[in-house]
Amino acid sequence: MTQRRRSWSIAATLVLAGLLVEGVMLTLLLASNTKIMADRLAALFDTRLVEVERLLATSLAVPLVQRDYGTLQDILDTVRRDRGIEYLILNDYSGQVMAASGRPPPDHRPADVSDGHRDREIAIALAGQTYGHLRFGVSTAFFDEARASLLRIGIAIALAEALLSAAILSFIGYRLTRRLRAVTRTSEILAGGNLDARVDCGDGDDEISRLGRGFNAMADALRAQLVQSENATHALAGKTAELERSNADLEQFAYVASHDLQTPLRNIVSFAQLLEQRCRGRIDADADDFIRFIVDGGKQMTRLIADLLEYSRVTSQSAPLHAMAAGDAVSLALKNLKLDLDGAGAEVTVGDLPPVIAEQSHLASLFQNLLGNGLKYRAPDRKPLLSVTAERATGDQWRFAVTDNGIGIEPQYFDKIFDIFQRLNPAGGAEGTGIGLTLCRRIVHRFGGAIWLESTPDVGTTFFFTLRDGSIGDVPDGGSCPPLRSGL
Amino acid sequence: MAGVIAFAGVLAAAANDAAIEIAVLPYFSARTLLAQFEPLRAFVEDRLRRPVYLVTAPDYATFVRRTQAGEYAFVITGPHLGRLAQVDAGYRPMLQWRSHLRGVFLVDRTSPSTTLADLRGKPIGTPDPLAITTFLGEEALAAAGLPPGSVRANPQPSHNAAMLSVLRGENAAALVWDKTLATVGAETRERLRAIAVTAELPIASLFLAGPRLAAGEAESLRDVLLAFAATSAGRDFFASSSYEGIDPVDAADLAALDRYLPATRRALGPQRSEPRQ
Repeated sequence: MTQRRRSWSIAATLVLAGLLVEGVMLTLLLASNTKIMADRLAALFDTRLVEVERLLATSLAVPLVQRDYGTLQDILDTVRRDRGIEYLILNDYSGQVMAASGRPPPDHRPADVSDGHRDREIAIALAGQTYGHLRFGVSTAFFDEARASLLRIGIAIALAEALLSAAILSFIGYRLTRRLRAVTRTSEILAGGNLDARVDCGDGDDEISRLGRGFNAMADALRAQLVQSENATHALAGKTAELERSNADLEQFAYVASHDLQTPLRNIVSFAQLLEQRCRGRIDADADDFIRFIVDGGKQMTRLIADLLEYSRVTSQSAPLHAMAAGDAVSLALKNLKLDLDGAGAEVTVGDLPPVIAEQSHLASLFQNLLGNGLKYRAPDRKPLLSVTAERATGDQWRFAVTDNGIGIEPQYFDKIFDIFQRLNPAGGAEGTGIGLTLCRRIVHRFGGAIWLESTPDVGTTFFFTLRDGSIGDVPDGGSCPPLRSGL
Repeated sequence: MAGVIAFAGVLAAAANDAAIEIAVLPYFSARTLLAQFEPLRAFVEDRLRRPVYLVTAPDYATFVRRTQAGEYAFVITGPHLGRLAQVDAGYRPMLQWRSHLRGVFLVDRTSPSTTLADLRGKPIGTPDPLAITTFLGEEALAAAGLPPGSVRANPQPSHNAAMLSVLRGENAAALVWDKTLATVGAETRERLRAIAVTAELPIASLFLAGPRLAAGEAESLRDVLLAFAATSAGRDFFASSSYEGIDPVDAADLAALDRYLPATRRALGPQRSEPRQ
């Protein structure tokens, strides 16, 4: 049983993906905005600092030159009080403290930027002459606080937006997948056999509603096709059973008829031959001919019945299939044909033949019929040459070829010759009942193969047939016989 | 009372013997004063190869108190204030501007006043009460029949502040040193009209060495200042400031200033030390 991979629902995936994308975007936006605002704050802070420095330099220059200590002190105190400056120390050009307001932290180390502080030093000049320097420290706490506040506000806005987005996406996901789940449930019910299940798609015209209507239309069509298919299957099963019964009856009839006809026919032939022996020349010439006709007709009928009986035995009384050497069957066939082969001066070539899945008597009958056919329809003006070869075909099958250099067959008869009792040249002198190739085809089909031929008139004929490879083991259940293609 | 130009020089104090401070009486606003004396300062610094700084005070009284306390080693100050420093604080007169000093009464060009008598009862913008120009103005008003109390004296932080107060309509007239007009642009001068002048003094200002300044250093500084007068920078300086040159001190001119000392001492009031950081 296939293990189904656990997966997220569409709604959850939609919400998570949306939140993920939004989270990334908000984070980037927040970082960018925070940096931009921090940079702007810093620039504003620097601008403000420069303004303060310029103002201080201007306002302190004159009183410094005047050594107006009271004014200097007032300016420093006012600036420190009003502008949040931590300390200011004014030195004259010699380094002497002229005025000071506030004190730097005890462990203070002057720096342009330090934790929470910024220290500056500006020259106090007048008429191009520097009269002193002002050092002052500015607390950047408000700047850091503003930056932190910006970050907090940004995060709060981002969280609020994320929550709102999650709610909206969840709602959309629910609305979207609710109807998709209905389609899923309905399809599962349909798969369970209830073809009456349908999706409630409402009156909407959105994609999901159209999907629901399409699904319902598909379910309607499926139900109609299933009903039609069931009816057809039912009818076919009836026809098949009827055909199988008819086939079995026919085969049984052929077997019984041919078997039961043998005895009276044998009596007729025997007594006709006895009558021929005793009455030849004693009545008249016509009577002799009539008696001979009876004897010949009886013998021909005997052969027909024998062939029919063998044909029906291929399926009705066949032994189980098993692996066997094809060469043994060919040898048996050649032994049975030895008198005819010798009489015709035929030359037979047999190649390396593989083991195949077959039944020996029928396989021998197959080779005997095909070789006998080549001998029977040999060309009068040349020595009969017969050959049996085999080569690997596709899969587990071997392709056999039985070739002769006989009179050949016109292409339009390639199919007809396999029909029962069909003889292309009954008056040609060759004996036969017209059942040999029909029997060959039945045997090959019985073994699970196929048979066909290639022929050129006045050159020769090759019969091909395929058999399963016997080197891979026996067929456990004796093989199967495919349905008859034609005739009996 | 004529406007007084006082210059004082200071060589570096003991704590910073590398720098020299020259204290200048604040008869102009500090920016104007320092801009005017910058060529002189630069010249002295260059010649002595020592840093030179100009300093001043918020007002005349502070400047005089610091001078009298010996705080300045070299000063450029008004003639009567220099004489006071010499007499009371032991300063040594070194040089004097070659220039006459007198005051001028200015009114707005559109003013109906044409004589000092027209100013009776009206506000007059004056320099600091300690300025020699103020003393010269009082003498001129008295001579015109306007004894003290006939006009409302309205002291201003400097000569140019007193002059500009007329243009702003704060005072009907201004009493200033006549060289003050040279410090403003033509467009300002054209808006003013002189209606009277005071008597003249032969000394515009005095250069004095303080009692703590070594004699050698004082001589060096005097030589440099005299050399400055002969340079092109010095001539430019005199052209822009209306001074004519720098001369050694004339003892007779100094003695002539004694008549202003009592009034100066009265205007100063009791001496007291200045609060300091």
